[in-house]
Amino acid sequence: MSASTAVPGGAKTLAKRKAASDNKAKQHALNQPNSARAAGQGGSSASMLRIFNDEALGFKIDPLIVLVFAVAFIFSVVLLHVLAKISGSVF
Amino acid sequence: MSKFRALDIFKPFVGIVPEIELPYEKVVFDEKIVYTIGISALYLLSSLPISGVNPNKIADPFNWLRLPFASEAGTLLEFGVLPVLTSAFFWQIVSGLKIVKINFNNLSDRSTFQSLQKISAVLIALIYATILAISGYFRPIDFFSYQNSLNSTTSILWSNILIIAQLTTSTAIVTLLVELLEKGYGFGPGVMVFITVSAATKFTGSLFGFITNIKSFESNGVIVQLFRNLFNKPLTTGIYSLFNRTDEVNFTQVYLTIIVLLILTYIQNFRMDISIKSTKVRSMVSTYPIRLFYCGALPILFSYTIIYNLNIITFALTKIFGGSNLIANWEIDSLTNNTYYLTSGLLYFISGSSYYSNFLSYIGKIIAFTAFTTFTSGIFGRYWYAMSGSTGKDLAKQFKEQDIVVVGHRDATVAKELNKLISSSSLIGATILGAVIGLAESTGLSKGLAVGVTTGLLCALSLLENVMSEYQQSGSVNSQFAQVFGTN
Repeated sequence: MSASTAVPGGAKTLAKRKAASDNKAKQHALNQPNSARAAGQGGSSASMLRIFNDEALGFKIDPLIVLVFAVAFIFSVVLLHVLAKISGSVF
Repeated sequence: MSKFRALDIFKPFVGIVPEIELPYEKVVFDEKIVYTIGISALYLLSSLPISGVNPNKIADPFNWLRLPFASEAGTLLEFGVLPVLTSAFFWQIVSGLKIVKINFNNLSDRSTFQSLQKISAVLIALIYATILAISGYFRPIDFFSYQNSLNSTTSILWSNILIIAQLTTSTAIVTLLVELLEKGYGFGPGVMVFITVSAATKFTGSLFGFITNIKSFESNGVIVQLFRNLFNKPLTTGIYSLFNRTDEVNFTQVYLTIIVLLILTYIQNFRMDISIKSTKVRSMVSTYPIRLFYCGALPILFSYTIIYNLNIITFALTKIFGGSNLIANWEIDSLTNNTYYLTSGLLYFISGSSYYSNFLSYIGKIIAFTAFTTFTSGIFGRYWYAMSGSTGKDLAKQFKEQDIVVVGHRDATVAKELNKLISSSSLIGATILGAVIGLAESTGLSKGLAVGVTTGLLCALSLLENVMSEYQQSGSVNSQFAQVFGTN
């Protein structure tokens, strides 16, 4: 019998297992996608910066409402200008 | 996992953010074009003066930074797309470097991340509007109007609150319009659509604009003014004055812009063609180009985003707290009263200011500004392709999914081979872009026209790629557009 025969199990094996699993976790963390496109889900590409590609939580609105809202906002500012002209001050 | 994550802080706010629904079915090509044109028109329309601010009477220290961000002084587009760009760049770089850990495989993480970018865009606008309002940026600059505004019945506090509210709301609307375009109702990244549209209108306006400036009584368009001068003034003074007028775009700017445009469109064509072929169809070899400008206009936009943010913050803080001459020093243009020039300090050296005090600092500024844009663009190009999922590995994966092989390479080596091309072209392209634009802008002659028009052009090319691929894939299906222009 050679002297190198080690008893299976014990602290050494546990350490090895831990090292292996740590290493695996590290590799896993390294290979995690760091952007939406890297995860294959659309998003910013090399030459295009985009933000929106998923439907997030929050209250849902129709695209038409956004357009109406934008136009309404523009008109309200125009109205403020008109009021300012009439009254001679900001309000 | 019970680990604390930065993203969770923002979770409670997500619920109150308006979110545009994804389209139920795919929006057809024609409708997309109508949406894109309509929304860009809406964007341009919102460049109307803020209520309580007279754009003709405020002095604008950022006029050389405005064009690449589609912003306009004293109007609802005071910040243009800057807040959206800043928050998108910031969060995507922070997550790309894994400083903030986000699991992009997880839908809820992705959507929270998306809402986070939206919230911070509006927040940035709110903060900037507040500090600028406090600094007195929106007050009229000339003495009489200033006294009038002080004596008027409305308090300054109320008018400031009104200004801040308008700017925040308009930024929120711009963000929503960007979202509308990006969610599949229109084309491409919304930010780029707005930059393109604004650059195109500005450039054509500066050449052929008929509108007369109420201060200098000269036409917007330099060519229109040329004809007016030819008939009204002696020939030499008429032409000479067009090369150094300051109220509107002059010929020096236009020529410089055209030179930069020519150089960059020439370099834009530099590419490496990789031969690819399908594994399914025999003898069909086609090419996949990897451009030298792999990152498009983004590197220079990134540099300018840094500069613009620095300028806004420093200007406001200098006006509020006095500031230090070492950091930045603004002097008002005493002739026209409509711009501040950066005259000295650290910020002067990374500015496109046209102020000239002595030869040495002017040369120093040219070198420092060019170095700054080159360096920041280069750094961006070095890391961005890896942050945006456009590495050789991702491309190889994409090829594999579509049953495409690169001619002359085994599957195992394709990623490495592509990466070699992509990493070097991205870095070198970004550096060249930064250097050319930096050099053109550093002299202070171009006043932002060159950088604005070239970013507009590069954004337009990226957009066009989107539009054309959509057109070729599904555009021809019962499209009015295809009937007119033919299909291919």
